[in-house]
Amino acid sequence: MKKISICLLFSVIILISGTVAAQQAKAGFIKGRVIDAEGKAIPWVQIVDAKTASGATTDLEGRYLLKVTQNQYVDLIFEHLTYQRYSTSIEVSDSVTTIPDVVLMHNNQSLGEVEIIAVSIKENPLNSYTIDKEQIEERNINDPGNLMSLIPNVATVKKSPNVGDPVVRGLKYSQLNVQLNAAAKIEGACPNRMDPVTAHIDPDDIRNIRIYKGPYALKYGVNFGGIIKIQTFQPEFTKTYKSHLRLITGMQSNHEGLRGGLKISGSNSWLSYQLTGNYKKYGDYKAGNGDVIQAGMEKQNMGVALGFKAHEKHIVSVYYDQSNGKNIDFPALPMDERNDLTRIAGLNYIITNITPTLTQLKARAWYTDVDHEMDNKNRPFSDTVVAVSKLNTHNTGAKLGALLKVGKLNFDVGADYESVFKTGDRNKNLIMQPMLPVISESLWDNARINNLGIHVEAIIPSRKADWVLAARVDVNQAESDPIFQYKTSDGKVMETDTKSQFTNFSYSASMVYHLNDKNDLFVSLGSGTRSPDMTERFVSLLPIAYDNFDYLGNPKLKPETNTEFDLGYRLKQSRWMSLEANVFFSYLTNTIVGTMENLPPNINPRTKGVFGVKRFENSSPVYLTGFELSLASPAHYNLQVLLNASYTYGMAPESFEYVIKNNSVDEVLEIQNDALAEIPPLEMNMKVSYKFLQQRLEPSLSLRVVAAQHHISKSYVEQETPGFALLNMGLKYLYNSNLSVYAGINNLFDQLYYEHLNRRILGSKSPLYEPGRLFYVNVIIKF
Amino acid sequence: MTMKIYLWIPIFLLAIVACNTTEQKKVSYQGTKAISAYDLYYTDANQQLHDIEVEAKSAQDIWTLEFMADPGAIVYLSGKYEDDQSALKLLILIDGKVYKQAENQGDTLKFLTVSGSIPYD
Repeated sequence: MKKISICLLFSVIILISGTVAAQQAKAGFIKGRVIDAEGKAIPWVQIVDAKTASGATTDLEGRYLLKVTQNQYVDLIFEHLTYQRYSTSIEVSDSVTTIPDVVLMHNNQSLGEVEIIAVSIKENPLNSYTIDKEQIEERNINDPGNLMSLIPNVATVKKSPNVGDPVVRGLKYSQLNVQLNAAAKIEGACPNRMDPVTAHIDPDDIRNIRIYKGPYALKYGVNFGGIIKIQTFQPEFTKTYKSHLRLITGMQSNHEGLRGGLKISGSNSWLSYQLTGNYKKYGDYKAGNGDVIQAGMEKQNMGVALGFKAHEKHIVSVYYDQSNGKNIDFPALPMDERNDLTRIAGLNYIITNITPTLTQLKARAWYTDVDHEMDNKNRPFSDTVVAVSKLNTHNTGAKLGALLKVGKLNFDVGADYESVFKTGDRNKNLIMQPMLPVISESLWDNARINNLGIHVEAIIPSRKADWVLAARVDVNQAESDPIFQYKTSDGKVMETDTKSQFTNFSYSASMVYHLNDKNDLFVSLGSGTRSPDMTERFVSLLPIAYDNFDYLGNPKLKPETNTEFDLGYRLKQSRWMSLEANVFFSYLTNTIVGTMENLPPNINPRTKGVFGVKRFENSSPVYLTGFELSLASPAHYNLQVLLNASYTYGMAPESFEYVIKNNSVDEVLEIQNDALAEIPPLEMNMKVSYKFLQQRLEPSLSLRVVAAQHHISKSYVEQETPGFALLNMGLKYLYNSNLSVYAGINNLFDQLYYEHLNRRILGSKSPLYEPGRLFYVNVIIKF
Repeated sequence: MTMKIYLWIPIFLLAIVACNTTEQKKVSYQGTKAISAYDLYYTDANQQLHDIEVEAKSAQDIWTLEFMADPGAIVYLSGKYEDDQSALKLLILIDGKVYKQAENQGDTLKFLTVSGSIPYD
C-alpha cells in the first residue's frame, strides 16, 4: 500500500506539473512549397503535424498552408506515394512562418536508410505493416506483443494477461524472426515461452513496429513466416542543440495499476542521445462475469542510447537497456515468473554515399542476456513441492551489409551471424520430506545454436512493374550436453548424439505492377527454410504446448520450409480512401509437430496430470491460406474510418487424433484433414473517430467482431471458442503541443469474452478471460 | 528548459527506487508440547538447513526462532522425538499470524513437518 501511495504521489506530481506547464495555444500557419530533385512542383503531397495530426495537401504548384500552434516546435512529416518520406522540425515564431522549399527524393533515386523489401511504392513496403508512435500512445497496452493485434492476421498466444506472443498468419515462435533496432535478437529463457522477445521491451520505448509477412524479406535474417522489427532508437541530428522531455503517466481501473515513463533526448549536429526509464505495475482483474483473474505484474527498465555523426557520411550508434520483471502471473502455466533481468546492448555503424556505386555500408553487433527465475510458490501444489527454475540465455550476433547501385538496379548484399546459448536448472524442494531433499534437473543442458547466413537482394525498378529478387543461404549448427530422454527401471536414458548441422536455402521474388497512379497489383512467391529451434531440439519432458502432453526434443529434426504465394491489390491514397487486399497460400514441408509416433518404448511423462509424451518430429506437409483487407480514410479529414478484416485457415491433410479417456491417451487414430492448432478465427476491426476543436479533440469508437472458432485441431486436443463483439470507447485530447490526454473505456458493455489463442487456466476448465469493463487515462507531457 | 529537463531525472529515479523496494516479513518458528528432548530441522533467512537438539523439560516450554525474510523464501520446520510419552507441536508464524501448524503425540517414527513459502502480497 505504501509503495502504491508513493507511486500515486509521483503520478499526481507529474499531472500537476504538466498542467501548470501547459500554455495557452495560439494559432499560426506554416506555408511553403514541395519540389522534386529537378525543381518541379509535386502536387498531392500530404503534410502532417506529427504532434496534432492536423494536415494539409500540396496544390498543383506544390504549395501548402498548414494551421499549427504558434511559439512551438512543430514536427512535420511530408508523405507522397512515389517519393521518400521526409520529416523536419520547425519553430513557429510568427503568425505565418514560411519555410524553404522541401525537396523530396523519388523512391528509386536514393535508398539512403530507407528499407525496401519489395517495391517502395510508399513508406510501407509490400506485405508490411507499421505501427507508429502515435498509434502506440493512443492504446492502453502494457506489452508490445498485444500492440501487434492492430494488424490484420496478427494475433497473440496468451498464457498471462500481460504477455502476448505474436502469431502472424498462423505461424509463431521461431517461425517468426523478431528483432530490435534493426538487428538485435533476444532469446527467451523459459521453455514455456513466458518471456518471448517482445516481453523484454517496454512499449513506451517503442518508436515503431514493422511487420513483414511471408518469407520474402530475406535480408533481415532467417525468414520462415515473417519478420517483426521493433525500433526504440534512431539517431537524429539537428543544426543547433535541441533537447526534449517526454513524460507519460497513466492509471486504470479493473486491471488496477499505473504506469510511469520518462524519456530525455537531445541532439546537435554531431551527437544524438536518449535516456529512458519506465515503470509499470498492475494487479488482478475482474472478467465480465466478476471472476477474478490472476494478472499481477511489475516491470521497470532503464536505457541509454547515443548516436555520433563523426563525419557527414559516418554514423555510429550504441544502446543499452536493462529491464526487470517481477512477480508476473501466468495462470495458464504451472509456474509464475518471479524475476527476469534482461540486458540488451547493441552497436550500429553506417557509412553512406561512399561512391556512386557503393551507396551504403552497414555493420551491426549485439549482445543480449536474460536471467529468468520462475516458481510454483503461488500454486496449490507448492504445499508439497516447491519448484524453482533459474535459467540464463544469451544471444550474440553481428551483421554486415552493403547497398550497391548499378545503373537502375539496387543490390543489398550482406552476411549475418547469430549464436544462442541456454543453460539452467529446475530445483524441486520436497518440503514435506525429512531433511528437505532437493532434486535438481537440468533444463537446457548447455544447448547452443550457431547460424551463419549470407544474402543478396536485387531491386529492379521500371515504369510499369518493379521487381525484387532475393536469396539467402544459412549454415546452422547445434549441440548440447547429453539430454535426459526418459527413465527405465534400469535408470535414465540419455541422448548423447546431440549434434546437427544444416545448410538451408531460401529465395523470394516479388513484383508490383502499376496499373496507374492510384492502383497497384502485387504478387510474391517465396520459400523460407528454418532450422529447428532450441525447444524443438533439446526440450526434456516438459508440458510446453497447447495440448496437455510432456514434450521431448529431437536433436535429429530436419529444417522445415514454408513456400508461400501472395497476391494483392492496393488502392493508394485517393480522395476518399486507401485500400489494400491480399490473399496468401502457404505450403509447409518437413513440418515440425509434436507426435506420439516413433516414441521410444516404455517412455513415461515426467509431469503429473499430463496425457502422455509427444516428441517433435518432421511430419507430412500442411498448408495455410487466408486473406487480409485494410481500408482507411485519408488522414487529413476530420472523420476517420479504419476497417480491417482477416482470416487464416490451416489444414494438415494427414494427422493423428488422440482420444483421451481417464486423463490418458486411450486410442490413436490416423485421420485426414485435421485443423492446425492455435489459428485465430475470422475477425473484423473497425474504428470511427471525428476530430473536433481544430483537430485537438478526437473521440472514437472501436468495434471488434470475432467469429467462433469451430475449426480446431484434434491432434492437439484443441477446444472450440465462441465468437464475440466488443466495443471500446476512446478520447484523445491534444491540449497543446506539450500536453496530451488519452482516456477511454475498454469493453464498454462488460462482456465476458476471451480470444481463441488465450490458453486455459491451469487445473481448471476455465479459459483465460479478458478484462471486463476498464477505465483508463494516460497523460503525455512533452517539452 | 535544459535545466528543467534534468530536474526530472532524480524525481524519476526516486520513484522507481520507491516502487521497487521489497518489504520483508517477520518469520517465527515455534516448537512446544514436548516433555523431553527432540530434534529439529529448519531453514533460516538464507535458506540454509540447520539441525539442533532441543532440551524440553515440560509441555509448556516453547522453543522459538525469529528472523526476517523476503516473500517467496521457503520456510521449513521439521521435528522428531524418541520418547513415546512425548508430543510435539510446530508452528510457523508470519508477521505474527499463524501460517502453518501441526502436532502429534507419541509418534516416534515419522517426522512432523510444517513448511511452505512466504506468500507474496
